[in-house]
Amino acid sequence: MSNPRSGRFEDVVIGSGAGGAVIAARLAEAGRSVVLLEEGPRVGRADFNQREGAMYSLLYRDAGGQATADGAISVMQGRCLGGSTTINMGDVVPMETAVLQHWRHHFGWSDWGGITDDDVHRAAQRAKTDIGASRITDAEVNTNNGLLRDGAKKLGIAGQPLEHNRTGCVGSGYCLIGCAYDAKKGTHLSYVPRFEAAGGEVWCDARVDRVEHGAAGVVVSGVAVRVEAERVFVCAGTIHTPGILERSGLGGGQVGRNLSLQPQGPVLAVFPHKVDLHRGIPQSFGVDGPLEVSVERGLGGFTIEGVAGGPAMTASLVPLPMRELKPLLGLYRQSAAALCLVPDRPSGRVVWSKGRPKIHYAPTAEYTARLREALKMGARCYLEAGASAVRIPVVHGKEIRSEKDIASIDDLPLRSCDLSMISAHPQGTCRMGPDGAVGMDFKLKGTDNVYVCDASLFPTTSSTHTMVPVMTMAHLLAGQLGA
Amino acid sequence: MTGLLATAGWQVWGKAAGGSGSGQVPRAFSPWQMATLERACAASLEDADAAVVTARELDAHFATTGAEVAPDFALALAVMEFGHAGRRFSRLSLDEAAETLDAWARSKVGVRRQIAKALRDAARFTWFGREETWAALDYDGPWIR
Repeated sequence: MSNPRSGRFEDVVIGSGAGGAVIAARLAEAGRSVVLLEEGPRVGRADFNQREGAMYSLLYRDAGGQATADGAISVMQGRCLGGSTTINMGDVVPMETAVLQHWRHHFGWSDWGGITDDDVHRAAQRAKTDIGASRITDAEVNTNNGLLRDGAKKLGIAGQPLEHNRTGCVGSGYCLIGCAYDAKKGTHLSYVPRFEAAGGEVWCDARVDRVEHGAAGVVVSGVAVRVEAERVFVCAGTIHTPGILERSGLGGGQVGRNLSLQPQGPVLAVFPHKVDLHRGIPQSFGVDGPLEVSVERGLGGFTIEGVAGGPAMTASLVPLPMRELKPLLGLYRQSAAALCLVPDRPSGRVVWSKGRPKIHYAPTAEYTARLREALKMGARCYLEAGASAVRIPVVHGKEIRSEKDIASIDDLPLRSCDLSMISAHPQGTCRMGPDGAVGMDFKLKGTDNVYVCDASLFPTTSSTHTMVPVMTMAHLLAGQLGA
Repeated sequence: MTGLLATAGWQVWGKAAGGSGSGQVPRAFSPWQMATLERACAASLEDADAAVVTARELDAHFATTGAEVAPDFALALAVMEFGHAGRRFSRLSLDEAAETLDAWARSKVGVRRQIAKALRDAARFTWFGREETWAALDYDGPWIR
């Protein structure tokens, strides 16, 4: 247990991830006295030992076990200094202008305090510069992603290396459990150092339970922590920001609604040669499925990207009896894996019970249909690249060895818990806009000094990867506040 | 039963993984719950010896880092132990337990699928996080020794 800490600041920021660290740095650099509260531990390269068991425990919410209420979808979230930017794949994907236009036309963002599309673009560029974003080179695309690329190319499907925020990557492959080489520039290596250099204080191991607000300011309190301030910025992420607000009796009935999880479904393949998917940049190439971005619909379609997990994650991902799983694990170094990233529409809700979130989410039939198409395209890519077999890790799944077998994906039941699914981009729950919990000035409605700035603001999915869109919003908020 | 997978019990004992078996090891579960957990691990791994080690690590996890979700996991163990016709789950043979777990994973009943997934994921993540399992996978291991 941490020693009790208390203090008075001009601003208090809750959460050190893509939203919190950015707004904290901008406020501190503008001369404000700011404290940044992080529920998880202060971590750095010396802590990252590349062991899955220890690292998921140290760095992830619920040791990596946070999931939907029906147990079907793992909702991965960082709980450490840097939040999810410390444990993500480092993908840099700004929101498309068409998505912003979708929100302007359909969610009341047309009048956004004079913020133009160009302003949004500039804010995204600023974030990209701050985290050292660049395009992954062809030479940096690892074998796993290269096979996906080669298969797609043979099929005439476009794709490209992703942008990322690594500099000096050594290719160890342990991005998901903390970069021990300080290559990936999460906020713990970008904005937090700037924040501290500007005089900001970081309090880690500081869980916030309540926010009280009044004309005189706010009081933020939790486990061994109490802060008085003029303003509070709640940036605890899509799942936990609504929890803090609900526990505080703030925000009304809209808080927790309109959840998107953008669940990702995996495709596994075995090749007759070594792939070593666990080495190199794990997510380095994206195959363009029929990704649709339109003013009318926002973000739809799907994309497919390489992915990697260590033995523990891989073994727990495949829901086959051990007698069938064991031969597959024996081919670990010949295995390839991709994730089908399928944007969804808001169809979930987070509620709070006994101090813990319950994430209620049911994919729509339309989403599931697109997921099937994505799984089929992923299987085709790997087969075309020379895979001896492909597997969709589903309870009833069979080996796929030919185009004829691919049709079997249409018959997979894909009920809750049949397929191992992951969400790394939860969004919504504190929607910004005339009908949402948060106003276009980022203030929680009914308050004058409680701001929200994380992926919970987005009316629908903002991008295929949310780090840069969230940073963009934080820069826009800072601009509105004159920071 | 909601939130069950949140109890999926990723091996989190960190540097203590593998445990010393000393009296200082924290415990979350009662003897009968441990018997259920051991059998579930055996069914997931199809290896009774691995199950003992894995169950012990999960017990330590739920007594410490995972204490918040330990009651949910205990409920899953209770349903697994008493939730089907015939004998208690912990008294099934290894083959019977593996068949039962697989049947639950394929069940039409959502809660059964949920419990099977949670127990299986927890056991496999914990066991294959252990260094002694990596040689069989030809996994060359962390760069940091």
